[in-house]
Amino acid sequence: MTAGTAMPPEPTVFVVDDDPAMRDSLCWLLQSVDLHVETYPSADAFLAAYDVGRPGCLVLDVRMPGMSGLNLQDELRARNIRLPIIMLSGHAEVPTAVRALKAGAIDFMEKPFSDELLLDRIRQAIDLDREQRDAGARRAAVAERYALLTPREREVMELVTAGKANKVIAADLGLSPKTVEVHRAAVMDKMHADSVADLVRMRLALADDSAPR
Amino acid sequence: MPRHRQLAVGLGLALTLLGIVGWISFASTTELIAATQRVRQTYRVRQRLQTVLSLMRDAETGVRGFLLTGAEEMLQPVNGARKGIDRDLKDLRRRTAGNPEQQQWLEQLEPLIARRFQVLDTIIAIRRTEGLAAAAARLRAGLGRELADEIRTRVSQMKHAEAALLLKQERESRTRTRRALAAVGTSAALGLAILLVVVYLLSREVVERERAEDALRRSETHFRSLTENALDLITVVNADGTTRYVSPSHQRVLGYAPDTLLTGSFVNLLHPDDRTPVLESFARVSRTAGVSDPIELRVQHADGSWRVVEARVNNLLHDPVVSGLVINSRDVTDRKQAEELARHHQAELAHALRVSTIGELAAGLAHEINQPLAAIVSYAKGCARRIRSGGGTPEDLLGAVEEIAAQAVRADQIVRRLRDFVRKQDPRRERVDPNHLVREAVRLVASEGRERQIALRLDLAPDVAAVWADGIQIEQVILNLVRNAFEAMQTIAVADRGLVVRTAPSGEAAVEIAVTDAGPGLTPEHADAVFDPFFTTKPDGLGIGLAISRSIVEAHGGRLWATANPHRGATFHFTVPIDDRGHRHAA
Repeated sequence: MTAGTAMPPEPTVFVVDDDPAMRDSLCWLLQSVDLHVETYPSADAFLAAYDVGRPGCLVLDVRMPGMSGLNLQDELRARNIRLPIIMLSGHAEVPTAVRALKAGAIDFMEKPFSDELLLDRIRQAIDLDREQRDAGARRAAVAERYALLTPREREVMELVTAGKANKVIAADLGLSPKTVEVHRAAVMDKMHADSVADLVRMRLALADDSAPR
Repeated sequence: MPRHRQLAVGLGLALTLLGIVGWISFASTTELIAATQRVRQTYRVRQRLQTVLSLMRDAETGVRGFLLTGAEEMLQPVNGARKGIDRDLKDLRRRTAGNPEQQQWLEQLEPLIARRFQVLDTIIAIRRTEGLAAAAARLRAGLGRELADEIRTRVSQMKHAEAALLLKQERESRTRTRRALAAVGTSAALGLAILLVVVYLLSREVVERERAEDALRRSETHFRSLTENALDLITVVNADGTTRYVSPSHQRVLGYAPDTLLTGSFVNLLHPDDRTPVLESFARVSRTAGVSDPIELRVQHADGSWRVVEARVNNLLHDPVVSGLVINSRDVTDRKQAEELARHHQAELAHALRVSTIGELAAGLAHEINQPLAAIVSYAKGCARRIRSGGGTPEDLLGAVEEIAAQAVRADQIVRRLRDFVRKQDPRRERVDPNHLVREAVRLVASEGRERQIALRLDLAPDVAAVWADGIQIEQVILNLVRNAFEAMQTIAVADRGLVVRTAPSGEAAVEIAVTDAGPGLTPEHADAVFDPFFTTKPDGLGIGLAISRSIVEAHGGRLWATANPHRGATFHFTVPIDDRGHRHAA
């Protein structure tokens, strides 16, 4: 499945737990609210099968043989897979929970968990995933358009979004204000920005993308 | 030859010799008397012969006298001589009856004497008739003188013969006497010597006997002082069960005067539950020689309390000196109480350790329990939602509901296992399968093992015998060893973290359970020290796990030790005796 097709694919809740009863029962629970579920007995199995384009979220058990939940979390981050993660644990270990959350997990829950809470979190996670993907798509679009700008246009865009007036830009770049006007118009056009505020937003989006995480 | 026969023989010999001496003495005395008689005989013979000669001379003198005087009175001696000579010759004949030589002389002599008298008679007749001259002429003719000479010769010869005989007899006598004396001397000396030997042997016999009696007396005193002062009880029982001897220590130990115990029956003092086994044991020992195994029985003290006594029976029925059963027993009540206390303490300590172990296992165990619980919640909630929305088929719902039940059972098992493990109870020995114990113990730490990413493998001998042990305690030991192995492999690369738990028979009477890790192994200094209490290489460890494990194993009659693996890591082994109750009580 490739990104950008007309109909966004249905989000899937990916359940990774080595205990068959856990997988089974979670599947049963999630399907009762018409969620789409896929279960995997191990982190490796999941990594092998997962395609980064698939939306949804990840429900993960901390203690598993082989790669643990935390390790999977690290691995996904390393691969730049931003699927939201909800961690489940049979034992409330504070250090583990803190680490998971700091590493970006949506939530960390103890078993047995409240089904309501879990379902809420899953919905939130799915929404988050969708937002992230949308934002990502938008950013990608912006980046595409940015790529079409000439270097001079980029410079102009930089200063415009910095809030500088045309005169000042002209002075900074050693251009005539008229030239700056022309560049500015071109930038607005190419970037499909309706206003300077739009442009600023786009500029920020670009910065987000390239900022170190 | 027994001593008394030796003495009898010796004495017999001595007496015999003395008898011989006596007889010889008697014979010698007889000889002496005979010799005296012989001398007298010779003397008499010679006297008689002399008398004969003298009478002859008297007769001649008489005749000469008559010749000269013609007086008849002068002839008196002649008749007298005749009569006397007759008498003497008779006597001589008698006396020399056993001597043929003398008899011969006598036979020659008698006629000569008779002729002489004839001659004299002739001369007398002539004197009477013809007168002196004619008679004298006849006398001068000399026939008489020849006769007289011959008579004298014969007599002389007879005297000599008699003398010679006497000499010969004397010589023979002397020889016999000498021989007799020698025999007497030798016999007497021998007899004396034998008597001396006999006396010596007897005296030695007496000394030995005195010494033996003395030793016997001393040993009796010794034995008596030992039995009377012993703290152990010594009882001697006859083959029919009656009591023959009860040592005085019974008073001190059980509070009964020995006399009272001799009359009553021991059985009444025994605890009712012990009576049958004790009597059976007695019967068994009475059939076989030797010492029985120790048996424990409860005996009532005179003050009413019960004492535990450990007894051994020595079957001396066939020993002629004893011919009874000797029972050595000892009051072990205090010892038993101390043992019981020690066992109790060990159980408490083991329990404390189990509790602390559970604390350490808590994370893993909580995880274990929460899994089924979470599954139950998910299934149940899923059912509820479906029912509310009307979206679930009865089959689906049924499936979920059954899963709920299954998960509840799973949770219960975990709790039960935990509860069993932590429960404080007195050590209870029972028949258990060692493989089952290993699996149970491993189940308790399975999740921890997964978290530590340790590859846990079981290598259980399928035909291993059942052991006689307290299952919980053995599980505790296995758990302790496995968790130690986990800790040891903390610093090892994940790929190398291998743990193997193995069961196998150990000889004929035990099973060995071994836990092998791939950790850094034990240094030689640690190999033994690791079992010492409070020895630990863990920063937060107590260090009593292995000490308690070892005491548990040893209380079961097994052994716990560590070996280094050929490639890497250490192996901890322990043995547990198998359940051989079937064999042990077969007697």
